[in-house]
Amino acid sequence: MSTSTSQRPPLDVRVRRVPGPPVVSLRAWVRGGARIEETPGLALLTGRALTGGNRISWSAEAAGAELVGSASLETHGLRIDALARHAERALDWTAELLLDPAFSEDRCRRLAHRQTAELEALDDRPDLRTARAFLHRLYAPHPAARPLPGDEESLSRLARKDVGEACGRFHRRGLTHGVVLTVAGAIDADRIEKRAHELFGPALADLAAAAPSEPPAPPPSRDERRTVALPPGGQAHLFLGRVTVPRTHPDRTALELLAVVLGWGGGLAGRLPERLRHREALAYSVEVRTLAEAGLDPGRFVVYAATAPEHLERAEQALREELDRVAGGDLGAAEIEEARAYLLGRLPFHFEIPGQWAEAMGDAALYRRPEDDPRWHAERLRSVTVEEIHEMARRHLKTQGVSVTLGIPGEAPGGRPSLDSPLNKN
Amino acid sequence: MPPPALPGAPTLDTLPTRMRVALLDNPQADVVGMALWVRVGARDDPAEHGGTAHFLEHLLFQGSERFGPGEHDRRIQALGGSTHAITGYDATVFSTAVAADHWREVLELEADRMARPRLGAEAVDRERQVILAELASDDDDPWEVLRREVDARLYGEHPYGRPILGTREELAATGADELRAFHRLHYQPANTVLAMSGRLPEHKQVLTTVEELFESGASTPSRTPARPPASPPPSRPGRARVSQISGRTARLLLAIPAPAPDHPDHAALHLLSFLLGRGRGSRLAGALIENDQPLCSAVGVSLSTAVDPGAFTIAAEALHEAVPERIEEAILEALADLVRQPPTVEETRRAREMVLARWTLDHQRIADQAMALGHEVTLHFPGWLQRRLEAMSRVTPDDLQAAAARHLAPGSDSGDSGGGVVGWSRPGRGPR
Repeated sequence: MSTSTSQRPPLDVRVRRVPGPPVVSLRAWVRGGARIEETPGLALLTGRALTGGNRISWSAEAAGAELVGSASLETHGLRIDALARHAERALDWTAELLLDPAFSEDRCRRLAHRQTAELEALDDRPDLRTARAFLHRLYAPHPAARPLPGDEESLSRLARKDVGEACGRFHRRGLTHGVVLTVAGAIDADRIEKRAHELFGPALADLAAAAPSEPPAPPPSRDERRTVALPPGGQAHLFLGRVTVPRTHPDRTALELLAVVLGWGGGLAGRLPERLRHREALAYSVEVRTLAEAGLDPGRFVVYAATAPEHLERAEQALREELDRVAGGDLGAAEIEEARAYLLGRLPFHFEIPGQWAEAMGDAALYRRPEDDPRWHAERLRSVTVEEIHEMARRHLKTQGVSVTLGIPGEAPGGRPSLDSPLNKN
Repeated sequence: MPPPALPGAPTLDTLPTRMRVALLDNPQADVVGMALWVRVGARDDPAEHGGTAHFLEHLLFQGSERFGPGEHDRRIQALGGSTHAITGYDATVFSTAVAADHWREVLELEADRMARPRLGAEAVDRERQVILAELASDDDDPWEVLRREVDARLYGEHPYGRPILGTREELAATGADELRAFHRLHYQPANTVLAMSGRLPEHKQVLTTVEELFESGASTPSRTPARPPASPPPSRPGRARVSQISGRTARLLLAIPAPAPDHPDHAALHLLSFLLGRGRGSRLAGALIENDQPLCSAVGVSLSTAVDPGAFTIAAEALHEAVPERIEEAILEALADLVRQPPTVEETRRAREMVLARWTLDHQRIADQAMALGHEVTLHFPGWLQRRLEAMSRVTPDDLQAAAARHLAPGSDSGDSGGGVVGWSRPGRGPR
């Protein structure tokens, strides 16, 4: 690994040989992301537009490589997964696309149009429609409140004029915040790292580092309840939760353990699925997370259940009872140790393939933590105490003060959005 | 370049009760992936009791003689493992991935629930409610709703046209007695393949352990239940149409009858699915998305790999202002073009590279290697996977054109399946 910094934008290059299948995974992230976009949807649009015109895309496909442009709340950039023998070509493609991108007006406009269509398509899923409303209420006015693709109004504004120029400006601005490049696979790591610096170093040397952006204001905590009207028929969808902490927060590890206790994991074990699914047969889908999308900004504790409308009240009551039980200290050491054993046992599976290593190395660069070191993860999982876990449960899981959004199938044909829905244009 | 392959040399052994054990020793990671394949699926559901195979799969998580409801999952979780199951038309698979040291504990759990599941009336009633909720979840997905209707028309009386979950009426009619009878008939060692991949113990030790755990109390000899040939899908000229009103986005699902995986054209059809629908350079991306007047926001093409003849399927999501008929025309024109002339050498090579690279990327994980191994032994034959990859690596442009002419031409009849089904889900009128 090597990092170059000074008054140039930081370039963080991390390369690792991962023996095994003849595969290479490359991730190139430009810092900034949706957190700094002026118009909702611009970060994702820019990420997608990075794959450029046809020449490199077709070359990549002809080599059997998968080249994807995307974005997150914190970055935009490229992802390549390919056979290992194309590692150097993948690096060359990445350098060209990232450092000398072409944001044609026509293509960017088409991508904006496509992003709008995707939003419409997602809206046909009642669970996703309800989730959007939940996130909006939970996080607004923080950027995490809005979907990454933006909204119809913002995309229409972008598509009206100079969208290519807007993407170009956003991309250049991101470059001044820095680039993270990670490569993992069955490769010659030294050679790839050297080549990466040759390709990226001089280009970033010509730029001046941006002053760090002001982080978005943290979302206020909200204790509220709202309803989203859905098309008739189908299930009711329940989202319940609150904002928790960023990835680097001391509460993180305890919250990860609590998630497993509650039902996050690779099966149907956990307090919430056991109560709602196994014992009371109220739901097929019960999901829980305690740090959903935690990064530089706080993640969220969120419980989701889909149930028949006539069971909605019972389902919510059952969820609240179980959560309040855990928050109130009804949580034995044996249960905590099982959760710890699960997370420790999963570690080899989080570092099994090059793509996972490339993502973890990227996280290590973004969050300045050894996220790519399984031993570090094991140590932090082992070190958190039962008392700390009880304290975190008290602090984060009690249901008093949570935000609740219910998606309820309506009677009217077409399911008009409710009056306070963010889907309304007015 | 030679085609990809599973790492190492798999072994296949048959135990005295005819249970088969396929092993792939691969020390790339300190983990083990297990896939327990039972050769029973929705196609074996008794008449009037659709959804039985899936219902039983659910119940196998609800306890056994030794372990209470939910305890299977808890124990796997405590070992740091993850577990999953899926019911298809031809088979039901129970998969677990765990650190290599815990392989025996997982086998103990699996052997117990396979042989002695709890199938009491209370558990059955409770799980029926969960499956009804699962059905309702499927109804929330517009693609799932469209696919069910297209499959029903495409397959007619063939079991692939029936919903794997069954209908609400069939679930109501299926109780503990039916489930126990189904379990006795199908969950036999002779009908089961255990596939394991990863850092495995010594070969003999694995076999001895499997024999000890899975065969204690088993009736000998166990037998593979007969699977009667299914009714062929209907044969009709032209294409049938189905139509639904739903949501804000128009969706198209075109399903064309395709031959079974053992047909000589199947490898070529698989490449055609990539040539047509995978990546920005694909024919349909060019016709529908990546041009000055796009019609769609997304398009995908897939080919069934089920045991019996299935479908070559094209799915597209329309842009709001697109005229649906133009989307259909563009797709049919792309198919007709493939029939008229072979693709270029470069295009063929691109499709081949994508197919083979995709296979490698999809089989990096130990758990996926175990699944692939179990799949070939249960539903095909040992070596099937490698033969298939080799066939795909040899496909020529003329092969692609010939396969397109035989199976994808508008109005073509591939012998016993007819012209296919065009399914549309369109937005309703009125306020959204």
